[in-house]
Amino acid sequence: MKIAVTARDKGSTDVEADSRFGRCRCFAIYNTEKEKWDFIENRSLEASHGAGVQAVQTLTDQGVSVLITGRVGPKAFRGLQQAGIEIYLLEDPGESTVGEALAAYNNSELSQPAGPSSRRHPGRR
Amino acid sequence: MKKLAVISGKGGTGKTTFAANLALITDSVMLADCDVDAPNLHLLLSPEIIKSQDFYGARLAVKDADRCSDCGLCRELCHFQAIDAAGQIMDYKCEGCGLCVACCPERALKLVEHKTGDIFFSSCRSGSLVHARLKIGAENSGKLVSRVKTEAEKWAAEQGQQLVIIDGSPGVGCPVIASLSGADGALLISEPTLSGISDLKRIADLLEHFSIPGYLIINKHDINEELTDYLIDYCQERNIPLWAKVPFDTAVVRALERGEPVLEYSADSPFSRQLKQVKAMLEERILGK
Amino acid sequence: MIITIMSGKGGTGKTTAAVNLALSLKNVQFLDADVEEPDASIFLKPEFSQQEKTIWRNVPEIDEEKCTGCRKCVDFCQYNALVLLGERILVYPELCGSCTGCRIICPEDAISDQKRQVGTISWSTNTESEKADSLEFWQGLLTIGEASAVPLIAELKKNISEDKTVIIDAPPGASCSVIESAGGSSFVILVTEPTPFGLHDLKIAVELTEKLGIPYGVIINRSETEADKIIIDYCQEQEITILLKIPFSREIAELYSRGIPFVEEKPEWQEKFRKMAAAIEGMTA
Repeated sequence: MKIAVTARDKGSTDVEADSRFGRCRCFAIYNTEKEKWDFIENRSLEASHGAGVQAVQTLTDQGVSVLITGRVGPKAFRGLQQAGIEIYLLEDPGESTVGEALAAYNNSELSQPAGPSSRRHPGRR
Repeated sequence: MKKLAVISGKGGTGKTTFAANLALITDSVMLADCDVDAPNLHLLLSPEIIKSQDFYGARLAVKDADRCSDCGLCRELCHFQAIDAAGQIMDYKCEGCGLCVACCPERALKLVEHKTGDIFFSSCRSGSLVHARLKIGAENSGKLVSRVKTEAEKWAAEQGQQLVIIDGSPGVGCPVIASLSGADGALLISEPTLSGISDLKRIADLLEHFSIPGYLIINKHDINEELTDYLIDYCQERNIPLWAKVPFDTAVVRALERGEPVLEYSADSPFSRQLKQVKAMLEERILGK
Repeated sequence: MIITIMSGKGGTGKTTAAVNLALSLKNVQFLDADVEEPDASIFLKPEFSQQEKTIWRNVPEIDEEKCTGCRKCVDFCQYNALVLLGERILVYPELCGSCTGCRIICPEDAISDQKRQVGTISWSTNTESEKADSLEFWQGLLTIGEASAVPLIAELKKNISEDKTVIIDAPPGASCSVIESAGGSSFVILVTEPTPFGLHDLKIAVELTEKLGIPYGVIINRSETEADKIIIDYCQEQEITILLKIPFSREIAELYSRGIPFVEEKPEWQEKFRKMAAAIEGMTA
């Protein structure tokens, strides 16, 4: 299966994990069968709207089934749920490298969110 | 490297004045002017532009006149009435939805990136400044804001700077969200007026949504002490502590008129004193000194 | 006559000028077009008494039986409002730009329109303000999550009564919402403050108004003799009329903070606003 970690950069598993999903710099995708890492730049980074939604499409197209990140907004959360992609949250993404994030997942140290990272949509109350 | 956003909700509360003056008394700081519709930071800091970049913020439909057969289908289909009777595409109405492009029988239309702004990299009195200007009537200011922030962070990292101060967009929409995203803290510049308070409440929602700690600064607190007290209590309940209260200080107005930083104009004015207090809080709480 | 009041910079006194002008004239229709955060009602205190209508736009609805998962709509959509998950399309109505394109290009005719709320428009023919002389008040309020204020402002303006003096309080800035508010007006009032910030943003607002081809004039808010020079010089150079100067006054600031339009406490100002309105009529004749 494929596991995606949101990353601040590409190239190695020593790069810092990114807390954001829709606007992370890259996705570091680990293929468990091939035991290989792939880094994809996030084309949604500069989308004016719907970055998270487009990111869901990217993951689906890549065949990812697990996502490890810091936070997921309501639109992306909806999409990930519908896509059947499991979400695991990093407590302190700034303190983890991509490699450490995967290790934490493998050691069952990460929790799954019940809902999007915030209950309210930003903007008007 | 830490990132501090300076926002207000309502315009005109003193965001830019605060951001500029704070940058002037802080070492190793990068300034990012994310108010791309009406950038004002440069007016206080006399920047020298080192480099500028084109910003392509919109994809709009463009017609190849040679291929066009004047069938008028594009005009008929366009939901935004962006094509006139002569078959010309009106840029300011075109949303770049791509429908005419997809349907044109002659393949005479395509979506093309349009330049909608400029990004500037400057050196200024406080150090370095990244700022931008969006073309009149252009959309997608959120995208330009994100770019300004990204470039500012990149440049700050290259220079080994400790702090990026982001002069945020006014309002509560996408540009503000883009200004706030990823910040370590936000200075909330408010004023004790009914209009100001209603906007501030929505900003508090935004901060909560993004889990960004907020710090309250009340400008002109003495024009309405009752509302000032209300503001302090309200923010306290929302975990936004008060960092400074500035009275109606004419020194700020005079300095503004002269385009000078307040500290230069009057180092001992109430504003200047409160500013130094904010700097001390900033160093302790955010920069961890 | 339709007068739009705008300012390049936020917080210069646009709403202050608009509400005080409205309270100084007769037979006024006031439109608060700052639909993201309408605040004129704080000052004019209308009684809406259930006069409200909802405004809608179309977003796609996918017929799953007809949909083959060909992905044409997903690849077409410039708003990122459609996602293909396996064989099903997930629609994000809040991102949809209502261009109707997906419905038109779908090869299986699997997409139809469904309504989505853009916002509400409320109005009142009564206000609690003592100084209001038959003031009709309209405001638009944009629904949470809606990205564009433009369609709602357009709907709001459909209610304009040509036989009244219409005052439109535009959103701040120089965006497409401002253009939508001001388009078709007889006159634009640009409100500024006598500081380098005010001047800088006034120039932006002038550029925008010139593009619209509408006659305009300037109100200097927080005016002071010395400070005003920066604006006066610019206006003289560009041959722009300065219509009115509202002084820098602590009292006016305090009244504003309490939601009180200053003509209520300083009725002599109603005459000044009336004179300005007469001058504007002269300029648009």
